[in-house]
Amino acid sequence: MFVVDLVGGIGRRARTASTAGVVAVRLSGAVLRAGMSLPRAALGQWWGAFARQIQFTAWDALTLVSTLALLCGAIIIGEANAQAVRLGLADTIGRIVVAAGVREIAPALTALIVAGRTGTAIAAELASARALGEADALDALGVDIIQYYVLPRVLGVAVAAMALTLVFDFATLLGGLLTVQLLQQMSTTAYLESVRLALSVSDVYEAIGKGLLNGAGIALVSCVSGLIARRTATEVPRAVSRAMMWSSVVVIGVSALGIMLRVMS
Amino acid sequence: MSAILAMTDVLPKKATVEWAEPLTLNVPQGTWTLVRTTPERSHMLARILIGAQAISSGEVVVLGRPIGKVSRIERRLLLSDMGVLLDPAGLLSNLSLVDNLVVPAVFRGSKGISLPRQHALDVFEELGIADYAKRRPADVPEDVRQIGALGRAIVGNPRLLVLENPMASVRSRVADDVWRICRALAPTAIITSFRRDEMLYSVADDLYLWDSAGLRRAAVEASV
Repeated sequence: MFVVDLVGGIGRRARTASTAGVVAVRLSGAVLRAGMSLPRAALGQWWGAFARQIQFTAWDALTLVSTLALLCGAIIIGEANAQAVRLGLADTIGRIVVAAGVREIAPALTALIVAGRTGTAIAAELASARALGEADALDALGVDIIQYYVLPRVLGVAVAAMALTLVFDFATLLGGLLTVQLLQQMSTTAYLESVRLALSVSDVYEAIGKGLLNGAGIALVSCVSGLIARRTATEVPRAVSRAMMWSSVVVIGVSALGIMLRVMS
Repeated sequence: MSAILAMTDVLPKKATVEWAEPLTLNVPQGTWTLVRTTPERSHMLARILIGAQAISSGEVVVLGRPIGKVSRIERRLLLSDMGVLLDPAGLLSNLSLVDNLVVPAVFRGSKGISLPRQHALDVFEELGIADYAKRRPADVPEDVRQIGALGRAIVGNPRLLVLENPMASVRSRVADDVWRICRALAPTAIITSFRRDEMLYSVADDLYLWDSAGLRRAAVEASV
C-alpha cells in the first residue's frame, strides 16, 4: 500500500526531520492528486464522509470549544487587566488579548482539542481498519486508499478546524468583554475600542490560515499514523498515541511558522 | 489457451524460509486453478498476485501487464478488472453488506451509483443472501459474511478472480450453488489455500500442491 510503503521506512531507518518533511510533502501531493482524480460517481459518498467529518470535528465540539474560549478570554483579561491597570497601561488590554488570545492561544488550543478529539479518533479508526483487513481489501479491489480514507478526513478536519478557530477567537474576545464588565476597572467601550485598534484583517487571515494548516496537518498525520499500523489489535492504542504526538508537533510547528512569517514581514 | 496470469521465477522481496525457491506458474484463460500450500505461502502468493507485496526477482504478468512494476494508477486500473478476496475478507464494518459492494465499485469509477446498487442486489439474490443485504457485517452469520465478500469480488464480472482461503465456513450444499454462480461471472480464477478442502478441489480445473519439494501439479480427482 502506497502510504505504508512511503512512511513505513521512517521509523526503522531514518527518524530525521528532513525525511519526515519529504514524506509530508509527498503525502500532501498524493492527497492533492487523489482529489483531482476522484471519480464523479464517488462524489456522493465522498461528500457524505466529508460532511460527517465536519460535523464530528466542529459541530459536536462547539460547546466545548466555546466554553474553553470564554474561560480563556476571561483568564487573559483577568490577569492582564490587573497588571495593566497597575502599570497605567489600560489601553493595551486589547493588544494583549489580540496578540495572546486571538493570534496564538486560539489556534493552538483549538488545534490541540481537534487533535485530542478528532485526530485520535481517525488514528483509531484507520488502525482498526488495518487490523481487520479492511484497508488491504479496499486496496486489493482497486480503490485508492487516499481518496477513500485520507482525502475527506484531511479536507473535513481542515475546514472544521478553521471554523472552530474563528469561533474560539470570537468567544475569547467575548470572554474578555464579560470579564471587563465584571471587574468594572475598564469601560466596555474602552475595551472594544482597544480591541478594534489592535485587531486587523491580517489577524483574521492568520487565524484562517493557521486553522486550515493545523486541521489538515493533524488529519494527515493521524491518517498516516493509523494506516501504517501493523495488523494487530495492540497497534490501535499505539497509533492513537503516535497521532497525538505527531499532531502536537504539527501544532507547535504551525505556531512557529506563524511567528516566523510575522517577523519576516 | 493463453495465460491470463504468468509468474516466472518469482521470489518475494521479504526473505522467507518457506519461499526460498523461485516459483513459476501459469493460469490459462478460462480455467480455475487451485494452489494448496502452507498459510504463509498462500498469504504471500495472493498478495504478490495483486501487487501488494514486492518481489525480489522474476516477473508477475497479470492480464498482460507486469503488476509489480506498473504505476499506482495503472495497478488500480488492473485491479478494477480483477476480483479479489483476501483472508481476512475485510468487509467494511460501518457499511451494510450491499454497500460493501457498491462503495468500492463507485470509488473505482463505475458510472452512477444506482446501477451498481441494483447489480449488487441482483448478485446477492443469486447468491441467496438478499435477506441480509441491508445488514452490517457484524450482524450476519460468518458464512453469509464470506459469501458477501465473495459477492464483492465477483460483482464487476472480473476477468481474473484471486481468492485466498475462500468459503471456509460455508456449508457444502450452499457452496455448490455459490461456486456455480462465481464460475459463470468469473471464467478465470486462481485460489490459494492452505486448507484440505474437498469443495475447493471439486471446483478447480487445475490443482497444484506447493510444499518444501516445490510446486507440482496433482490430479484433481485423486485429491478428492
